[in-house]
Amino acid sequence: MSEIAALVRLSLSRHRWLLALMMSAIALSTGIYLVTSTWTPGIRGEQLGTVALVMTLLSAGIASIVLFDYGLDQDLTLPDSGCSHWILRMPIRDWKIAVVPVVLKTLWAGMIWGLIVMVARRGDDYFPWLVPFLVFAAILVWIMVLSWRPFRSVWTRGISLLVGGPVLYFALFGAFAANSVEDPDWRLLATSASTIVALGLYLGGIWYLIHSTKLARISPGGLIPSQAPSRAIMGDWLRWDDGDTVQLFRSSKHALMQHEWRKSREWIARIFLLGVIPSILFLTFVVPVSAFGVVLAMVCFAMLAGYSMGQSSASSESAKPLPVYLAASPLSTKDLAWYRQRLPLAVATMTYLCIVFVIAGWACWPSNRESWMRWAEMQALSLGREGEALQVGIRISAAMILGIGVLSLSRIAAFAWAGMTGRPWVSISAVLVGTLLVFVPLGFGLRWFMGQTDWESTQESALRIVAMLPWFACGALTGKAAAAGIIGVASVRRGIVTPRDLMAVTGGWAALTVVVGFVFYLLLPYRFATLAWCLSLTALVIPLARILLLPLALSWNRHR
Amino acid sequence: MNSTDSSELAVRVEHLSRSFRGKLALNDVSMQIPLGSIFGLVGLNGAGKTTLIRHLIGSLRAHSGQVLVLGHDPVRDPEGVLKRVGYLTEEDSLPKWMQVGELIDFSRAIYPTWDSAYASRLCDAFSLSRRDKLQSLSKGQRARAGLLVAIAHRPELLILDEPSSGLDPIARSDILEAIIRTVSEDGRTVLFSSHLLDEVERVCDSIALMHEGQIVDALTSEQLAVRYAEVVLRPHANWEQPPELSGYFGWKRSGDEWSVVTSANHESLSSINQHASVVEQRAISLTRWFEARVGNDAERATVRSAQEANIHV
Repeated sequence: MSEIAALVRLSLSRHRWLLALMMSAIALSTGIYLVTSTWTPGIRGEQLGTVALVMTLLSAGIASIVLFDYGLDQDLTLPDSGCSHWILRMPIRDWKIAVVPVVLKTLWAGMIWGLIVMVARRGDDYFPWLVPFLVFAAILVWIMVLSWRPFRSVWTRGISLLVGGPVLYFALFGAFAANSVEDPDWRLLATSASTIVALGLYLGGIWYLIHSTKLARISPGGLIPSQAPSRAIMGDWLRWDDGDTVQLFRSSKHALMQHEWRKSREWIARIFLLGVIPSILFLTFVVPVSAFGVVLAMVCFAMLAGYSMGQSSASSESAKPLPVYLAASPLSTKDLAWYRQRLPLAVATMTYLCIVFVIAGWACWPSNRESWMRWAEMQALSLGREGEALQVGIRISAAMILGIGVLSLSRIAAFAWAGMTGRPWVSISAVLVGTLLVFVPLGFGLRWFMGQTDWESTQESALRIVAMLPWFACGALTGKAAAAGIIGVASVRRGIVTPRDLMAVTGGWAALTVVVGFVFYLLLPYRFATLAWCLSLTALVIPLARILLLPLALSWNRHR
Repeated sequence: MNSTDSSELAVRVEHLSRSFRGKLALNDVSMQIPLGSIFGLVGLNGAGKTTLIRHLIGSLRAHSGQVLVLGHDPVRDPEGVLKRVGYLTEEDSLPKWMQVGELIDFSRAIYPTWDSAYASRLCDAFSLSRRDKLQSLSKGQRARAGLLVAIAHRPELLILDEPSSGLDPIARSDILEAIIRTVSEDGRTVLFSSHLLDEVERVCDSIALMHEGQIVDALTSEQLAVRYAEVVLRPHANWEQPPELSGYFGWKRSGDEWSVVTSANHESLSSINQHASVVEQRAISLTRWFEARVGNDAERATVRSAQEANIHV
């Protein structure tokens, strides 16, 4: 077998399951699209087929970042090359190592973009083929470059991504914008220029990838794991309290929490330095107050909170077996489960609460204050409290921030158990089931809404549904209590927790629910927001059963 | 193995079986380790030693059979068992982001019997500094740090799962010294799993041989010398294959001579005199015994598969 054939085979087999999944999904959705567009043209069936195909192709496009790359098993937060070190040690020429995944990725990009163009052109829309395809392929190549090239400092990789991203985005933008230039001469010039830029980016990426491969093979930073200077500086700075000082902990729980803090603090610092502070500055100075700006800020900080949780020590080990030094330690399973989650949750909460700085920043601009005041007056008017716009506005704003915060932090905490089982299939299944549980009712709701013909009947139907909500809430709360009871009994029977532990966790949950629910009751100025409604909703959102499940899930991981 | 009163046992394993994806890793294993003994567990790669040890520390749950460590079930009561157990594994499993000092401080907090003075002495003896980051230490130094954590709380049972694999002779010697010191100073129990048979022979007073998920033999060092002997023979005619004689196993060719293991009290050397003359009868080493017990199966398997493939051996 020739070297190239062997590399092709390796590239295909490296992510063969993902490749098979994507190929099947594309084949299925293309089939659906062709059937629906041929037999039911112009009606909803065709739209459904188009949406299915576009969504599949979008997923395939995202998957192409990973597909055909025999590397990406290295930690990209380290300065070493992200290309497979095993391949780098093989007696194969640099260009062959680099070119094989590039060719496969290019073919893949061509197929995806070709299908998108096919769909777009059926609708008689003009859609450029060559230049966006080249830019798409160039994006994939440059992602490989940034991953494979060893860097002296890992910050350089991050900054390169920040710089490279907009450059490639504008190249893609240019590909579409060139066609809308009205003057034929200028259009030709713009099209030619964008083609040359796209081709240059693609070929330049290939050349630089070969160079990076060579660099990774000869540079000590490529094959030999090394400590980046900037990372070391940050690490040393964060270790100001280390050294010869003996740390005496009051208990094993304190030692465990300190262990989590020490392991996670570098990540926490990075998230604040690279995520939270730039987001505050960007939102404050670039995005004006508007419905879009507020939603953007809340989504941004909720995502940062989720990311900070995901990068913490306990979460980064999720879906993996518990480290041996902890599994073989005399720490109790319940302590390992509950105490290790405290820091990530605290960091996620702190991260989310930094949204307050954005609001404070927005408040400094007179134009933002005016926009917000207009919105508050509208809200007060709709509630028939014209003279209390400031108060109504503050209450609704605070309730929105609290609501999104509680919802996102609760969802983050609710899925921690899946990772604790140490089994990837449980995590994947939990995410799938959780997503279905959210999107299926949402889909039914949207379907119902889209089927409405006039506003009055919609309002009547909505009121009927709202009247049924207490029953739904009662059912859901009963289910939640039953699940908590079953999990509690199972945990006690296995000797993982004591009834006292269960009481403590349940008591904490009840106290938090009452406090948050009461705050909502105080904040929400709407008539429907009764105390019972606020408490029920909060009790539904804040997880209990899945928090009680954490020790049981960890026990399943610890004792396999 | 002989049954002993449970209170005198550090480890008691009864009819333990375990499969992974249909492949049997442990097959009806029963084993007892008396308190105060140094117990060696030997076997080829994949024999099931690590799987057995993982049951002892509760990382694996007994699907069938029973495991008791220091009188307790390590899955039912992990805290109660593991605070009395020291564990060192071949895997480089220490948290590399920690400094030695952090590791010691963390371990002190979680082991109630931690002996700080002893930990300091070990730190000095192993030339470890509190400021050393585990990531920057050599493999041997990391193994020493792991050993420090495993023994500084003076465990009643020390479990060492191939701790000296891939280490330099000095690090191996440190580990052996620690085992000897642990037992001689404290009278603790040690379970020592290793490929390095000379080390096992040097320190262990009981040895169990694992093969294909089973304990195929278990004996004390004295019993090894008493039960088995090695005989060196010179055949009367040139042998392609040695004769199949009951009581003789582990044939090994060396030039014109053949070596074979037999029961030391085997009286019928006469049966072999028909085929060969005895050059020497000598005391058996652990390595030769090991080779004879597990090598035969491996050889037979090779011959069988070769015959199946119609290849002349």
